Amino acid sequence: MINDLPSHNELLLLLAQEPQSAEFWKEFAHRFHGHICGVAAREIKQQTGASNLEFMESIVQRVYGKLLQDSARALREYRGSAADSAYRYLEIITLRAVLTSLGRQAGFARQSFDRLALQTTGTAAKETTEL
Amino acid sequence: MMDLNKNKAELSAADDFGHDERFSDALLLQFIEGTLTAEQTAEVQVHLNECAVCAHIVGEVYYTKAHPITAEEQREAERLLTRTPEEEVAKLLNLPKKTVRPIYVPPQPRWYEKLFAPPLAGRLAFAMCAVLFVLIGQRGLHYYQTDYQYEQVAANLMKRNAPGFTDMRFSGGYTPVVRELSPTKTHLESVRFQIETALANGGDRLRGQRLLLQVLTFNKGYDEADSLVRVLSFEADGDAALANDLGVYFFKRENLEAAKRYFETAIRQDARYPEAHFNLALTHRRLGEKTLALASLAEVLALEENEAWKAAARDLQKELQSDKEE
Repeated sequence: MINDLPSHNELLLLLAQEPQSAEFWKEFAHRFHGHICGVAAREIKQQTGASNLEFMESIVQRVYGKLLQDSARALREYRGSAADSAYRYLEIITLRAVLTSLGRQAGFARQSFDRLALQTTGTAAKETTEL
Repeated sequence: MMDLNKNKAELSAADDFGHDERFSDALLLQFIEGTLTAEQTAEVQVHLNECAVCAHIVGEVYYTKAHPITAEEQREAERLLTRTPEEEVAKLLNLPKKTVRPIYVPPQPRWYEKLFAPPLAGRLAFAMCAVLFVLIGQRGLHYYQTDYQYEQVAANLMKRNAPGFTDMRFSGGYTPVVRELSPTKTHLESVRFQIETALANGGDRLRGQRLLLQVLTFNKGYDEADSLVRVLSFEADGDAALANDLGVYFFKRENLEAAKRYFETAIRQDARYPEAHFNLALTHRRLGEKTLALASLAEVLALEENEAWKAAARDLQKELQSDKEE
């Protein structure tokens, strides 16, 4: 049991250091699970016009997966400056999970990526010519 | 500082979703919170013009800042899920369900524990104090309106009733006083008012009526006391003090036989009642029954604890003995 309750920022830092700690994850879920679900539900409804249980479950799972991915890279990169930064960070991750999941089907994210990739490829080609 | 040109080669490392990893979620957060340098901010802004997903995310975060996710929305969303947060964590960490310890459950105080913890504790203490204050106040007011009034009457009577050592004794444990005050109309009226106030406020009826009888007897208001005596005479059999006071009333009215009966009634009720024995001795004396009077005085001397009344009894005893010898 966590005796002295860490702040939200401290908790994410602790999780970054010990990503396999069930104790910290339990506390994380206690604090943020509802927020993640709320953000996901709101965005799914906004994008699809309806609630989708299965999709939402996959999003929540995806968010947790994202946090743990690459030895908790997302947690290690986190630099919150305010007391409630953690909520915003998780919102960003959740929103991206929703949008990219939908984008896979609709090409929503791909379009912007393609534009960026095209621009960068053009610059690289120009550099090659100069060489 | 983030250098886009320097990191062009890393573009291939774009994540699964086709997003440029350099504009990570952590970077977007810093952008939203305004903790990036001016150059970094400009670069992110350029990216936002090109990336619909990131632009949408930033817009949504600002929207959520203005319209936060409510607790109701959170509960509604959580309710839809088939897995609890604990199960989600267990699944995430690949832990068997049974081995997942309850990790952190904030201790929920029981309802009665909440009463003794802030902020309810202070309110409870205040409420208890208020209730106590009201109860004590009510009790105090009741006492003031009833018993206190009787005590005032008795004190007033004792102050004015200065029985000589050969006078009748009322019930109530009056002590003999040397000073003598004559009865006044004002005194009688104030006493009546006090007794009536106490009776109106639920004071002990018998006590009030007995005190009134004493006051009327003392003030020689015999006619006024007459109706009261008729009422009280029905209750004399069960109350030695009342029987004694009725005896005093009849003694003062020179009805010595009736007085004697009442004193004897009082002694029957309470054989260890020195006032009644003393009064009976005085009645016997007036009736010329000196032997009986001496016998009653012997009882008084045996029972009386007040030295002044003992001295009075001894004086009367001496007087009777000398009369007898003569």
